[in-house]
Amino acid sequence: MSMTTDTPTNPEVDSGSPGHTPTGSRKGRRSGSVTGTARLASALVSPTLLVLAVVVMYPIIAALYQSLFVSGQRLDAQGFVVEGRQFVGLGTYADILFGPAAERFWNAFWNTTFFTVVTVALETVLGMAMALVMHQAFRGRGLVRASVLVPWAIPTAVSALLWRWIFAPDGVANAILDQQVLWSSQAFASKIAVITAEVWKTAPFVGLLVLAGLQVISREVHEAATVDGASAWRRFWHITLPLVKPALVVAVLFRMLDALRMFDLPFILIGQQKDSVETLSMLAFSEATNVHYGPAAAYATLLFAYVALIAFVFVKLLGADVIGEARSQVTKSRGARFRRGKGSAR
Amino acid sequence: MTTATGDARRTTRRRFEIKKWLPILGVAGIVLYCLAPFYWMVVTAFRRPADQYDLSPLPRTWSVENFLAVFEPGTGFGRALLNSLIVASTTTILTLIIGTSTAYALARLAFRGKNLVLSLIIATSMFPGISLIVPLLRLFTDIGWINTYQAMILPSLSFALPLAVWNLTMFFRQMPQELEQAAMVDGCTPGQAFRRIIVPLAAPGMFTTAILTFILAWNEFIIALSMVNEQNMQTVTVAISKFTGATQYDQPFGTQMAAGVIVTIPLVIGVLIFQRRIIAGLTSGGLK
Amino acid sequence: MATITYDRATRVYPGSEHPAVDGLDLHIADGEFLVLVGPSGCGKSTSLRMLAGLEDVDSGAIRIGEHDVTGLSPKDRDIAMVFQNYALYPHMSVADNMGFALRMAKTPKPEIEQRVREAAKLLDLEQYLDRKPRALSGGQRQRVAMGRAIVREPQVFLMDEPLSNLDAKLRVSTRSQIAGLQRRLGVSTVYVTHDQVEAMTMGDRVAVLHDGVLQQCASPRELYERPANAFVAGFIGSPPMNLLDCRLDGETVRAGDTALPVSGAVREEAGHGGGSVTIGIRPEDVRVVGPGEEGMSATVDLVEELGSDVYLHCSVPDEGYGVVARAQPRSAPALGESVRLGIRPEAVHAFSAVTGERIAA
Repeated sequence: MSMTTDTPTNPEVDSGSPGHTPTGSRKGRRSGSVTGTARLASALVSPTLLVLAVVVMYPIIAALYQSLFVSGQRLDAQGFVVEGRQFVGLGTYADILFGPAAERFWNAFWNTTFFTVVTVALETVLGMAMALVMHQAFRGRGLVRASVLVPWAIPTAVSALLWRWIFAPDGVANAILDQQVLWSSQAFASKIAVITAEVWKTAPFVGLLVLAGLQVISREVHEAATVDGASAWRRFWHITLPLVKPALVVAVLFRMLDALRMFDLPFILIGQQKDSVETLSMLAFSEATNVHYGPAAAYATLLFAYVALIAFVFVKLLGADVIGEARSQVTKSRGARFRRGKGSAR
Repeated sequence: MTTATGDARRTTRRRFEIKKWLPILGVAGIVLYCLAPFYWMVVTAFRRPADQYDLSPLPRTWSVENFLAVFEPGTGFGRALLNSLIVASTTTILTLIIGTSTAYALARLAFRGKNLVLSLIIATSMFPGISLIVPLLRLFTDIGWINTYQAMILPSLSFALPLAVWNLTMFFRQMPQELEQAAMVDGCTPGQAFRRIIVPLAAPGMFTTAILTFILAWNEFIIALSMVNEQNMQTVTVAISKFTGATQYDQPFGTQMAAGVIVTIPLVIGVLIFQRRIIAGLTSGGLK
Repeated sequence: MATITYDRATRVYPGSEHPAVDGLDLHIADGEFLVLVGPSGCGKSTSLRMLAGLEDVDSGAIRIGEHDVTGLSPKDRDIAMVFQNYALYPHMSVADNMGFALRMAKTPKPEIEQRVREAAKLLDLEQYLDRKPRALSGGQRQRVAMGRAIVREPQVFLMDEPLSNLDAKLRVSTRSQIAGLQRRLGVSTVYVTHDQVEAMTMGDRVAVLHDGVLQQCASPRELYERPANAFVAGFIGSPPMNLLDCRLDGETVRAGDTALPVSGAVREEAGHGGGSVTIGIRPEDVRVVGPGEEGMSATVDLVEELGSDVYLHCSVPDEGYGVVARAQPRSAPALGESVRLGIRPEAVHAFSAVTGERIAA
């Protein structure tokens, strides 16, 4: 890397010190030594990393630590009343996974997973359909764009209240279906209510993300496929879908992570501590508000692990390109990942 | 021209006509899908409380009773709106202050581990809120921060900051690399180049990020719910969820819908005005 | 038999008053290489796309062989197209790109592989069969686009400015490759370009379009020697033909301070045109003459050194036009010199000052 530049208007030279940069100035320097750039970079990046370390990393680690303890009043092994915190190691986890708390945990786990899979699948299909329509439409483009943002802009809490009203025993859902379903109380109906509300709110958002991916595909490629003899469906399957896959995978990843953390909707729509819809987040919350910090921390940590696992799978194995790596200057060989996907005629 | 080809032309023409209508139907479908529940919320809010369970498409009698009920002294709704405003604005401002320089560095400077840092930052936004809340709740209880603004703002940074950094990084990446260099060749000092060239160009991107962050922070629920138990410190999302009627079983749907309308209308208007920016901001990540 | 016929084909874009293609009448013989050429916006790409089925035909008809294909979708027309930006499928390998159409036609796999390999051999792409488009250079991508068309063995090849994205040198070599390939395969080809040099060197016949209207369709030699109107005259040939606005003066027309003898037909037309006529003369038919010879006075404004030739851009005093003349490299006049330009009377073209149409000698 060159150490000097010759342009007279470029004052910062090989000393590489960004010292005379006024504080708060966010200038990038192309010239200057490697250490100069690195120092500047760390100066600019560290505030964010610091805040995140405090606000995110510390709680995660603290939660892990706290989950190894139990506090409050209990009976210990000899039957004495014990106060305060006591180290139980993985005992809480054992309780949760196999012991007395297992039933509630696995129920929450199942609910969470069920909701995630179903809502994400529905959102993807609906979102894809919406994206295709929005891509073709010329008239009414502005109207569609605005409408599509409305469900996203409404706070989830408000949306939950709205759907609670729609799914009320005397609400409009029952009126349209001409039934008297007790959406909030019946086990399966309440699941359907949650799924409906969730999909309604987020399918358009998925549609937007997919639309952006569709718009990158050049029109000529579609025309070439038409000339090559592909019908509309086959064009979609062989050309559109493979080319929109990167955008789709990122959208699906974000939606999955959001769905795994689902809290607001079932909490307000159905209520607390309802077996039919209690998610892992709700479970952790319930324990926390009951001041069972140890178990709450354990649930929180387990949920974190679950989310991290899914994220890992998506990024590493399915190649979710979250940071736009493919488009940045860093060139990598991603052929291996593409070959594993569909679209090749081998 | 044989009849066979003549038929072919006729059928393709019919096919073309259906093809013309499909997009319009699709558009109508999407608009209906998105706006119908919202429409029902507005209609319910404007009914008289007595007509709450009416199913007519428009209120038989328009009334603002529900809206008045929202602001009755007991609900603390007005205060809740203020709280939400404070929390969301502060979160947004802090996020922009802290995150912009980072985004600029990530977009413009070349240093080792850049992608790693970006991935790390984005990864932190994926952590479950509850996983942060449980230990922070404990900590805040110990240091007496429950029912304060900072108890809601700080955890909000956990999702707001990474998202803002990601958004801004993508935005800065799109700016041509030669801008600062051209300015300096034209005679600007680095500081001037930054002030006169970069800042004005970055303003739209920062504005968009601010909008997105504000909306996200405004909609936040679980943190506000956990950190606050006094009514006068609740944010609006929490306050709405706690609307109750005369008895435990009485659901004042009308009032709730009115509250929902009050909370949503400004957001919807904002979204309509800034829709191009918002969509650009939402979809720029990783796709451009 | 794969003849192609445009039968008064017209295309008007919605919302526009002026047709993009206006009543195009063209008949292309089987195996012929026809070039559509013209400036930007002349309707050549639109015409090609109408033939492909990618553009609606508002009136008139298009026939391939005996079939009226006017309403048919592209996939039913048995055509292959090379796009300007190649339009390769980015997610597929070269082999898959070339075999895609055959897959759509449900051709058996072994046959697909064989035909792809043959085309790859023809185009020297064999070592790239496994690569994705983004790992190829511009020239290689262009060949893949051609290969994709060749593999189909269609009735018609359509090419939409396939060379415009290549650098100049590559363009020249690829030009001859394409022409040679077409001759070998014997498939009717319609080729669009804005570059008249490309048109002249590649086409069996060249159709010049301007503002959606066909100006002339003829062999390159015919276009060069007998342009049908002033537009074609000025478009074909590089440097372009000098087009001078000249006044009738008795039995002659005046060009600068010289007079050119013209035929009776020209004089008659000039009379209709208010006494003016457009005289066309190619630079190679204008040369520097000695002081005693017949010619027009001019001043040299610019000397273009081309190695084998020198072109003089001269201005003629008192007239509003300039004249380009060709000179010998070693005896070329200098900048600013006054010269005498001699014009060969037999090489003079005459066009109506009103309609631009050629006036028959």
